[in-house]
This record gives sequence, C-alpha cells and structure tokens, in this order.
Amino acid sequence: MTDERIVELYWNRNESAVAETQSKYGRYLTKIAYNILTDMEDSLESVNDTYMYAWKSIPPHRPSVLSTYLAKITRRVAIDILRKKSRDKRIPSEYTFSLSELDDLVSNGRRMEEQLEAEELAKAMNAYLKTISAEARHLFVGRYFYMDSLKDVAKYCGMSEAKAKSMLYRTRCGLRAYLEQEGYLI
Amino acid sequence: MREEKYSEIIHDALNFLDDEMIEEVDCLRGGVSVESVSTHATMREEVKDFSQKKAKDAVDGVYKKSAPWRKWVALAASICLLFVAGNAWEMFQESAFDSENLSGGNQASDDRIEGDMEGIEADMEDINQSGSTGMASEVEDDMYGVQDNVDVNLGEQEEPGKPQSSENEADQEIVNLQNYTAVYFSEVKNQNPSDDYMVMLSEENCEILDKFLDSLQRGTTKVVDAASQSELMNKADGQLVFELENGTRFHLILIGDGLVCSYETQNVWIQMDKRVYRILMESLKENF
Repeated sequence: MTDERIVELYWNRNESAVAETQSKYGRYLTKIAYNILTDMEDSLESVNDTYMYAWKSIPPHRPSVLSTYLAKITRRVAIDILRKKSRDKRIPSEYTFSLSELDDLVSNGRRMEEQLEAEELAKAMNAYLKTISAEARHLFVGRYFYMDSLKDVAKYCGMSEAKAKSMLYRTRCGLRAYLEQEGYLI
Repeated sequence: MREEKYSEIIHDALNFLDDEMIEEVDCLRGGVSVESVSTHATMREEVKDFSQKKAKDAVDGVYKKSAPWRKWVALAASICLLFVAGNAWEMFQESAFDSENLSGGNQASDDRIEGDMEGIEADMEDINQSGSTGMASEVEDDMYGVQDNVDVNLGEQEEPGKPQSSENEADQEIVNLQNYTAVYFSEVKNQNPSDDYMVMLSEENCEILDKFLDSLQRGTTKVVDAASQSELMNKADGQLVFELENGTRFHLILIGDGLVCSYETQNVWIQMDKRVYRILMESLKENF
C-alpha cells in the first residue's frame, strides 16, 4: 500500500492504518529502535509507541513521506526510553557510541546555552550538511540519525570502514567549526 | 556529565533533519534490517573497549579520542610542514629582498656591477673548464653568479688604517669561522674571477666577519633595513642592512647562495657553502 493511502486511512480514523503501517514499516522501525536500545523487547515497545504517536498526530499532520515521519518518531521515543533507563549507566548501543563520537563537537571549557533550542540547532546542521558532499552527508545521517553501525554505514555507502571513519571525523570537525562560526557556543 | 548532555541535545537536533536527507539514506539502506545488527558478542567486545576507555578518561578528567596514532600522524605532518616552511622561507628570503638600497656603497661600483653581470655565467663556465682549484669548483657549486671586474673599492677603502692591497694580489687562505666546518671568503678586487676566483680575505676582515656572524648568533646585531630585488643588480636577490652594537653597519647583498658583504663602503664578496648560508639565514631570521 502506498504512503498516501496509509495516511488517508489515518485521516479517516480507520484502525487498519496501524496494521498497514506495521506491515510496511515494522522491521524498518524496529531496526532504528534496536540500534539505540539493543534490546528487542524495548525496541518493540518503542515501535508500538510510535504507532500510537502516529495515530495521535495524523491528523493534523499529513506526511508526504511516511517512512521519514515514522523514523523520527521512533528515534525520539527510543532515545527517551534509553535515557530514562540508563541515566548514569552505559548501555552498549550505537547510540552511546555515537554519543561519544559527537563529543567531538563539544570543546572543554566552553558553555552551551541552556536554552538552546534543538530546532534552531537543527537548522544550522541542515545548512551545513547541504554544503558537504553527498557521500559525507549520507555517512553522517546514516551514522547519527539512523545510528547504524560504522560497518553497515560504510557498506551501504560503498566504502571501507576506515574511509567512512575518517570521513565522519572530518564531517564532525567541519560541523563543529560551522556551529562555532554561527554562534552556537559549544 | 555536561558533555553528555550537549551530545544529547545534538542528537535531539538530528531529529529535525531535512526529510530529503533522510530519504536519500533510506534508499541506500534498503536491505538493512534487524538481522544485520552486530551480534551481542561483538557488542560486548565493543562495550569492553568503550568502558575501559571511558574509565581512563574519567580518571584523567577529560574525554580523549580513541585513536592514539593520530598524534603520530600529526607529529609527522608538523615536521613535514616545518621542513617545507623552512625551505619556503629560504626561497622567500632569496627572492623578496630588494637591492635598491645598495647605493649606500660606491655608485661607480654599482654601475660597474651592472655592466659586469652579463659575463657572470660565462665566467662560471671558464672556471669549470680551467679547473683552477678545488675550492673554486666547490664555490662554483654554491655560487649563483660571480661578478667580473667588480670594483669593490677594496683598494681604496678596505679597512680604516689598513695598507691597501694590490688589485692583482690574491691572498688565498681558508678561514674557519666558529662552528662552521669550512667557510671560504674572497675579495673580488677588480680582477678576472677566472684568474682570481678565490681571493681570500685578509685576517682583519675575517675577524670582522667573525664578529659579525657571532653577533648575529647572539642577537646583538640587528637587521635595520631590507630591500627587495633591485633592478641594478639583476642577479641580486636582495639586501639586508645590519647594525652592530657599536653602530657599524653591514650591507649584505644576497645573490643565490653567496653573499656580498659591504662593510661600510667596502664590498666584500663572501662565498659560503649552503650549510653556512642556511645557518646565517636562520640567524638573520631570528633578528628580523
């Protein structure tokens, strides 16, 4: 079933919308959640929460690309579950690994504004990602949005792990410089 | 920890990435599924390394990158950069100085120098063919050009109070300057260089140059003027004017790897091997 038809089911408050969503995107969303939580039970729970949030938010939203819309929900839900369950404890997952990698964007001795809006930061990140090569952008999104392992990201981007790692590092450095230039004191 | 909080904010911001960017990667991911996730065993290994690294960072109080080889690469790159920068500086010094201020010396000498420059390379070949002395061939390797019939006024004003030397006399001596393995000095006294390519400085002049170079090393001699390439000395790469502690000034005309040193109104042609030249230039750089 196409995304438009599924979204139409949501708008019509047809409960088969959830079933159709699960049929089409269940594994896709579970993979995203598992990358973060590394626990199947928690991953399924977060995916179920995703269906619930989708049902509540459509309408008024009418996403044109359902996969991306659902991916963002799943990602947010899974991260919230992880943070809740492991505030001061390290759980092995691509999320925590990517967290340490993103520490490159943070410099010691500087302060980040406490009221930094994630959306404002995202605007800057979007602007920066549009300036880099498609290859680097795919790596970055695959690693830090989808939180796929470095191995997986390198594989579907068609490069070696070493090259992917190096390219990711350069992208992080470039993003940091860009954010500093734009006034995001990190 | 604060850094972790900031990283989390960045992760939150990633949730607002443009849909197009996400869709591009979605197409690439295609067959990525739950089954392609690393096994738990692999994850445990990664966690172990990760935990040990973080434990060490916690002790040190800072977050460090997990790739120590980077510092060696950075060190090697720095060394290469320094080497390249050093060579570039040398080349810059050779090409950036102007000998316009050369006129502090004798104008007649300058005119004659200008006229004589055309025969310099021919003279170099003569020196090669004549095979005059071993020192001459060694100088040839180092020298960029030799002035023919340069009136350096040595016969007139070689040094205050010193008896004038005949223009046809050639004093050959090797002067070992402090800390240098071998330095050859010559006074070009309006002679055909092929006959008198390695006319050496008198002892007094060597002592003066000794003091000069020593003062450069110690920093008591300062560069007070510099000029870019001169039209008069078309083979001169430039000139530096030095001032000693007692106020005496040296004009150094830089031509390739050789130096023409003008002591007050004198012109003394100094030929140094590249190593000495480099040492001298480093000293000049410190004072410049």
